[in-house]
Amino acid sequence: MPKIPLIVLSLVVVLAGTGIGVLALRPVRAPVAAPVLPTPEPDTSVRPFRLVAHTGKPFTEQDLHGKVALLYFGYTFCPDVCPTELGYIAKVMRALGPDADRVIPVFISVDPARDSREKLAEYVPLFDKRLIGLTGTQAEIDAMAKAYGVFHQRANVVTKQEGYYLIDHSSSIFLLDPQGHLVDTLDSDSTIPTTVGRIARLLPAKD
Amino acid sequence: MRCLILLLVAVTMSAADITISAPWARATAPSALNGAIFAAIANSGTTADELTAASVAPTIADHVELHSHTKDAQGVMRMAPVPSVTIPAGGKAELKPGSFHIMLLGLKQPLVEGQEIPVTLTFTRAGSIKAKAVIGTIAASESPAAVSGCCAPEMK
Repeated sequence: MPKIPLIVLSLVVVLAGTGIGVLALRPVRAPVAAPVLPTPEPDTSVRPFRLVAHTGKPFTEQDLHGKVALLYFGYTFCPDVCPTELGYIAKVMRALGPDADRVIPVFISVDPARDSREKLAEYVPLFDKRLIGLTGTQAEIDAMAKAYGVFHQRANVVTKQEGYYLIDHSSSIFLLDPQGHLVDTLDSDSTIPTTVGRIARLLPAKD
Repeated sequence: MRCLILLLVAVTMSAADITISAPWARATAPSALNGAIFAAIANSGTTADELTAASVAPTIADHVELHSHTKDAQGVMRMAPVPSVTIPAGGKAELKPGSFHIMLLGLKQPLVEGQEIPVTLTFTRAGSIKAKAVIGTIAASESPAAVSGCCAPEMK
């Protein structure tokens, strides 16, 4: 067998082996359950807003200060995804035990035309007494949704019920630290202990 | 006692090859205008079947539609009516949160936890099958009958 081709062959084998090694060393990515978009911007500045709570009181980003906040955008007519996510938040609140005192869960309606303060008042306590429901004018809601990169749009689908409409919307739970910085989004596919752990790391010291 | 009742109503109902297991719904807020029924539908036959319609008494809701729910690449949830749901031969279709569901539009009264909704499911091959959906909490994510230890104190 001629020498040079053998060397070339060896090189090819070595290079191929290295390639395989590199491939094998590449970090194996955990399967991503579902791409959660919009991805929170790296900008962690406090996003101001002014809405009305289901209690009738004005509610701004200042009311979140000093607590870890869980923000979820949805609407009460939402028959499926919103109860799933709010149910998850309620489970997390229960699992937090006494630490839940330093956590504030908030549901922001992207359907202010139908979600009046009164409507929210009969809805949010069914999940958890601590859950705050927020509504406002369409412009106020749009501004807050934009600040958090939340998509919401009346769905272009026709149902048999006259005047009835659905809203397509982003379904993410935003996690804010006690200073009001958006630090992460929570995935309701995560186990409750995993989520509780992520929240616990942000909790402010007890008074 | 509630567990016992739930177990009794969770008895599966079948016609020919189609079996509807543990149909359930979530409780709704007092003035809610809609609700959703979920169930697992199995097909033991060798031919696929189609769930084409569902109905409830007019005293429960104005309209009933089959809906699907999908999460797009941007994480946006989109819900839309679908003409039918296929139950593959030897397989099953899961009507569950975040997926297919039977949508009740124009509720005449709130859905109350612990009560049941008589519902009729219509299939292309199996015909009409009656079932009773058990109503769980508003935050339920699965059939109350499927939740083991449903009456443990921490679940209250």
